[in-house]
Amino acid sequence: MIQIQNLNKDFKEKNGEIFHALKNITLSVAQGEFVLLKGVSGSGKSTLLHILASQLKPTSGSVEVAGENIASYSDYHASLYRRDITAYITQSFHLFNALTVEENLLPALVIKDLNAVQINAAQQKAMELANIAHKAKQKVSNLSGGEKQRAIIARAIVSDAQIILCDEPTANLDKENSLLFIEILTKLKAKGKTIIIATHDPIFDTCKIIDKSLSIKEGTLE
Amino acid sequence: MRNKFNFLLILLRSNPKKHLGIFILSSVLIWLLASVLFISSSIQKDIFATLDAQADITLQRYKDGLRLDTPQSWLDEALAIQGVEKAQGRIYGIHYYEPKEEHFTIVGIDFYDEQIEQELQTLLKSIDIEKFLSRKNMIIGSGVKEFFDTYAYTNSYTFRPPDRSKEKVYIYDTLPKETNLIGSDVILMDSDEARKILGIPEGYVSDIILKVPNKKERQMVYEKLLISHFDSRIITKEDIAKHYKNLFNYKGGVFLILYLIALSTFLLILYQRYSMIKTEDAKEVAILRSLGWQIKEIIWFKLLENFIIVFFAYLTGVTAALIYVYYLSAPLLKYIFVGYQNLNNKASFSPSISTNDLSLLFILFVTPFLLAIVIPVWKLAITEANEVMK
Amino acid sequence: MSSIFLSAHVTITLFIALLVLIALTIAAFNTVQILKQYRPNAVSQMQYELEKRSYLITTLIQLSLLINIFLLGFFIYTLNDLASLIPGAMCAAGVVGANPFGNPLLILKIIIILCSLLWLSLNHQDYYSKQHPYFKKKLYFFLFIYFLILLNAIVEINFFANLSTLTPVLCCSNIYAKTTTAMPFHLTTGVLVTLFYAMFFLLLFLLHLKKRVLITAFSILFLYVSYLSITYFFSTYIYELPTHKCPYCILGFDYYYVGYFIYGALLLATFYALNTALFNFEDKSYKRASYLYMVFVFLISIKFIYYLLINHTLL
Repeated sequence: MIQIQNLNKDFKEKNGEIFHALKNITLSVAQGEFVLLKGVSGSGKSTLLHILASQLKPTSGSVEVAGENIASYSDYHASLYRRDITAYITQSFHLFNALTVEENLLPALVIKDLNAVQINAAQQKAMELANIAHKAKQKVSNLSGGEKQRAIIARAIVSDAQIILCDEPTANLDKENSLLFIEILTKLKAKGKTIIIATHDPIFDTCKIIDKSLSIKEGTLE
Repeated sequence: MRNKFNFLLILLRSNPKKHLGIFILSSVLIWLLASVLFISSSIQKDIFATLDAQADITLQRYKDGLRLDTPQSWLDEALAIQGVEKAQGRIYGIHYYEPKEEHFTIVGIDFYDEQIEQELQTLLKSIDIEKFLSRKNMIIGSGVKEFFDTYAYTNSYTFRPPDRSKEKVYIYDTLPKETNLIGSDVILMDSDEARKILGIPEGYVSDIILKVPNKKERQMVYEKLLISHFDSRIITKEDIAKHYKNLFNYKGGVFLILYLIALSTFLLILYQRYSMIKTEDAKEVAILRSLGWQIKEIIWFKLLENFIIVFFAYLTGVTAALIYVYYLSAPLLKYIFVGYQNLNNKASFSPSISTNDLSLLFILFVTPFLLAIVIPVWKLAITEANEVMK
Repeated sequence: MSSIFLSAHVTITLFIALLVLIALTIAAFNTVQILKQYRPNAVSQMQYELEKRSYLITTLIQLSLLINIFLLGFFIYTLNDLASLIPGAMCAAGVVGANPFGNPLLILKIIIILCSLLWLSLNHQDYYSKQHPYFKKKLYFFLFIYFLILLNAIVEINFFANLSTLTPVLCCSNIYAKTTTAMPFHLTTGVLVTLFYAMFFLLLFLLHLKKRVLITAFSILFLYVSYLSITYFFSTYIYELPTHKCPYCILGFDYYYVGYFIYGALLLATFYALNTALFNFEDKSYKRASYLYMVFVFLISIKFIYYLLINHTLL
C-alpha cells in the first residue's frame, strides 16, 4: 500500500540554518496494517505523517501510495488524494466551534459530487461508527474533550478513506476516553483500513491490534 | 457547487459577529455614496423643473443697486419688440413681520389674465376664481401657515400697508407641501389687493416678464431692452440656469472631505480583510485543506463569502439612503450642497432613482473590492495545514 | 481634457479598466518571477511553492476576464449611449467611426476576449493533469495577453480623448450605405452571401474531419466574412430597410438586443473552433463549435429566409 524510499525532508530555519527533519527513511506498510510510530516530540514523526497526508512535499526520495508517487502531485491531485485516500486525525481540536457535530462533517462532503440524501447517509454512518451520533445536533463548543475527539474521528472517516493517519490522537484525552478511541480504531481495522499512529502515549504499548511498532529518533527510523 | 454554497450559508449564519465589522463599514460607505447620489440627482431634477417653469426674460428697473417699481409703459414698449410674444407685469414684494423678524413673499395675481409662469397656471386651475374674489382672500404657503397657526391667525390676518391703513385678508387655502417650486413662505392674493398692501402705485408694477419662444431671438430682445432702458436689469432664463448651477456646484472642500471619508472607509475595509490572514480564518482554511479542498476551491469560496457580505451591505446601504433622503429629508448632509436652503426653504426631496445610477454604484463598489481582496484571499488559501495545526 | 470624460459611463469604463490593468500588472510581475525560477524537473517542494504562486495569477486572470467580458458589453452599451452626445451619430457606428482609434479598439477587445477564453481552456487542461505539462506555455501566453491589454489601454484612452462632442460624424447609413463601392475587395452582395454560406458549410465539414490547421485559418476568416455579411447584407433584412446597413444597431433596444445573442454565438463558436484546433483537447469541443456555428447562422438567416418565402425576391 505505502512504499517510502530514501525519504529526506529539510526545513530552512529562521536563522538560515538547515534542519534535517527526516533522514533517509525507508518504510513499507501493507494494506490493513496497524502501524505505531513512537518518538518524542520533535523527532520527526509529525513531519512524516504530513508528507504521507500530502500536506508537505519531501526534499528528496519517493513516497508511493497505491503505485503513485504522491510527492510529485500538483495541488489538484494532492487535494483529491487527501479527500479520497487519507483521513487525518489531529492532536488538537480543529473543528468549527460554532457549528453542530453534524455540520462539522459537511466540509469533507461538499467538495464531492453528492446529493443531499447521500450526504446525510454518510454523516449518519460516520457518526455512529465514531460513537457520537447522539450529539449530532449539538454545537461543538458545548462538547467535552472526548466528544470533540470523536467528532474529529467522525469527520475524518466520513469520506471512507483507506488510510487513517493519527497525529498524537490521545494527547488531550483521559484514560477512559483513550480506551474508547482505541476501541473505535479496532472497529476501523476490522473494516480493512490501514492505520498509522504517531504518538508517545504509553497506552498504545499494550494495545493488541498493533501489527508493527517503529520508533523514530532525530529523523531516523530505528 | 450547490452543496458548497449551502455550507457557506451555514458558516455565515453560525457566526454572524465575525463579519459584522465589514458589513457595517461597507453599509455606511454605500449609504454615504448613495445618499449623495440621491440628493444630487433629486436636486438636479428640481432645478430642471424650476428652470422650465421660469419666464424667458425678466425686466426690472434698478437704481443704486435697488429694485424700483417699473412703469407700466415699459410693458407696451417691450411688446413692440419683434419676437416677444407676451409681456406681463408682476406685482410682488416682501412683507416684514417686525415683532418676530419673519418675512413673507406676497405675490399678486391677475386672475383673469393668462399666466406666463407655468406653476401658477397649474395652480390656478384648481381654484374657483369667482368664490376667491368674492371677498379679500389669500392662499398661503405651508411655512406661512405654520407661522399663522402659532399666533392663532386661523381665519384671517390683518396686514399694515405703508399708508397706515388696515387690510384684513381671509385665509382661503393652504398650498400643498409638495409644491416646493413655489416657496413655502409665499402668500398669493389678487393683484389689486397686493398692490395696496405692498404700496405699489397705479401705473407701476414690480417687474415685467416676457415670453420669447424662439431661443435665438432672446439675445436680440435682450440687447434692444438694454438700449431703451439703461437703468434696468434684464435676467434671461440662461442667467437663472447659470445661477442655479453655481448654487448646485459642490463646495469643493466639503466634497473632497466626503471623498476622503469614502476612500478611507474603503481602505479600512481592505485592512480588515488583509488582517484576516492572521485570525482564525487561517485555522478554518487549514481544516479545509486537510480535508482535501483545493487552493482554487478555497479562493473562490472566500471570494463568494465576501461577495455575499458586500452584496447585503449594498442592499442595506441603499435602503438606508432611501429612507434617509426621501423620508427623513437628509438632515445634515443636505447642507453640503451649497445654497440648497436658498433654493427651496423647508423642502423635501422629490424621489429620483434610476436603476442606471444604482447599478453604476454597485459596479463602482464591488469590482474594486473583489479585485483588492484577491491577494489576501489567495495568501489565506495557500496556508499550509501543517503550519497551523501544530 | 475632452468633455467626453464627464460622461459617467466613460469614466467608469476607464476606471474599471484601470483596476483590471493594475491587477494584471501584479499577475504579470509574478509571472515573470515564476518563469525565472521554474525548472520542469526541479525539487517538488520548490515547484509546489511556484504552483501556489501561480494560483494568484490564475485567479486574477479569471476575475479580470469575467470583468472584461462584462466590460465589452458595457463598452458597446456606452458607445450606443454616447451616440446622443456626438452630433451626427445615431448608434455605435458613428461613435466608433468618429476617430481612427475606434475600429482597432473594438478588434483588439474581441481578440483579447478570444485569447483569454483560450487561456482559460489551456489553464483548465494544465490544472487537471498530474504534472502541469503546460505550465510554462500558459505563463508565456498570459504575458502575450497582458501585452494586448496594455495596448488596449493606450488605444482606449486615445479613443476617448479624441472623441469630440462638437465635430459632426457620419453614421451607419452613410458609412456603409454606398452599396458596392463601399465594400472591401470590390465584393458584391451576391458573392458575399455565397461566400458566407459556402464557408459555413466548409467549416462544418472541416470540424467533422478535425483538420486542425484549416480550422484555425477558416474560423478566423469566417469571423471577418460574417462581419461583412452582417453589415452589408443580413442587417438590411433585420432592419427591413435596404439602405440601413449597420452591424451595431442590432445591439440596441429597438431590436430587442438580439445582436448580443448573434455576436455571442459567433464569438463562442470561434473560440471552440480555435480551442479544438490549437490545443486539440476534447471531442466535445468540436461538436460545440459546430452547434454554435449552426445557431449563429440560423439566427442571422431567419429574417432573410422569412423574407424570401413571403416575397420570393431579394430586398
